Amino acid sequence: MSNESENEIIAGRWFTDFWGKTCNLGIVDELAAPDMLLQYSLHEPRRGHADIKAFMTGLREAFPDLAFASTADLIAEGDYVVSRWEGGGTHIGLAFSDFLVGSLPAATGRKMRFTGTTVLRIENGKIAEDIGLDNGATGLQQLGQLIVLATAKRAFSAVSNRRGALKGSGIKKQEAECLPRQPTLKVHAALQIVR
Amino acid sequence: MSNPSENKIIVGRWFTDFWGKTCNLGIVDELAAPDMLLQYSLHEPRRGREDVKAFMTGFREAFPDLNFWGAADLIAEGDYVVGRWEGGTHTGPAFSDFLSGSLLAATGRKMRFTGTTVLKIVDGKIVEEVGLDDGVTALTQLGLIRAV
Repeated sequence: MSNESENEIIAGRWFTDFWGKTCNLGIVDELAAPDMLLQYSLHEPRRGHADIKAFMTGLREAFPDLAFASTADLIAEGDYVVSRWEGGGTHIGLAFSDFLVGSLPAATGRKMRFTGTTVLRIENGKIAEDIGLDNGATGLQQLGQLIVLATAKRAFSAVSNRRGALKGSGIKKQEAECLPRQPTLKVHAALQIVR
Repeated sequence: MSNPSENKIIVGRWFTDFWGKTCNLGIVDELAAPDMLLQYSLHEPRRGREDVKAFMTGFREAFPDLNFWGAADLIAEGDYVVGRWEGGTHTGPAFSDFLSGSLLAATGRKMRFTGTTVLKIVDGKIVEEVGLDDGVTALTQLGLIRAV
């Protein structure tokens, strides 16, 4: 069996028992390297078995129905396995302060649901890294944790109306070729932050 | 028949000419499938060559020094290539148009973040580019969102 095939099996078991509908933290002892790194964009990085178990315990205390599942085939090459997933949970549990952008008081009852991409690095049958990114901004908005400043919309209108101001700004010729010839481009389409 | 090695070369050229320091939109005509999907978490999904070009044109108009680069080796299997990247922009003229003088620090407001992109390549053309990033960081840096 190829290295990649073995790694995909390890990844599958990890996603099921650590991130899935039911959690079996024994999987950490079995599959995680002793100094495994777990890093997701909304949270502080965690390292090692105890830290990683504590992370998941805390997360599931706040979101008892937490569950994530694959949405596509794994992509594996060398030591890496990439998973694309979706999932979430309902905040019906304890107060939660593990987000980098602030804390939730207890039992808000709000649901979060989002998608993400995770890259696992597996060495000699042990997971060395679980590094993920996700539509976390969506999740936080659902939880009511983000305020998107209304200035964004005004700002991008201002930019598109002042395209002439870009002349003489020092933009290189090659970059200038990417600028539209017509001055009517709506810049707000480039950064649709305000929903 | 998918060819991961060839796909990595295609993605390397795409990252350089579409996302890199200098932009050559001819790469879209060359490497993008006619109905290519481009989807990033901070943006509306875009489809087709003209839409994809318009996306990048607008993005670079707002941030003329936009530049992203690979942060690790590409991962490829079958039709898929995964790129991990970082980049962003320093404050460009666009920022000074809308950030009030009192908010703007001497060094300007930078946007710098990391991300992971999954590309699907069929018969030498990019049919999908789906990316995620630590956008919360970027938006916070831009002063466009804040925690409650």
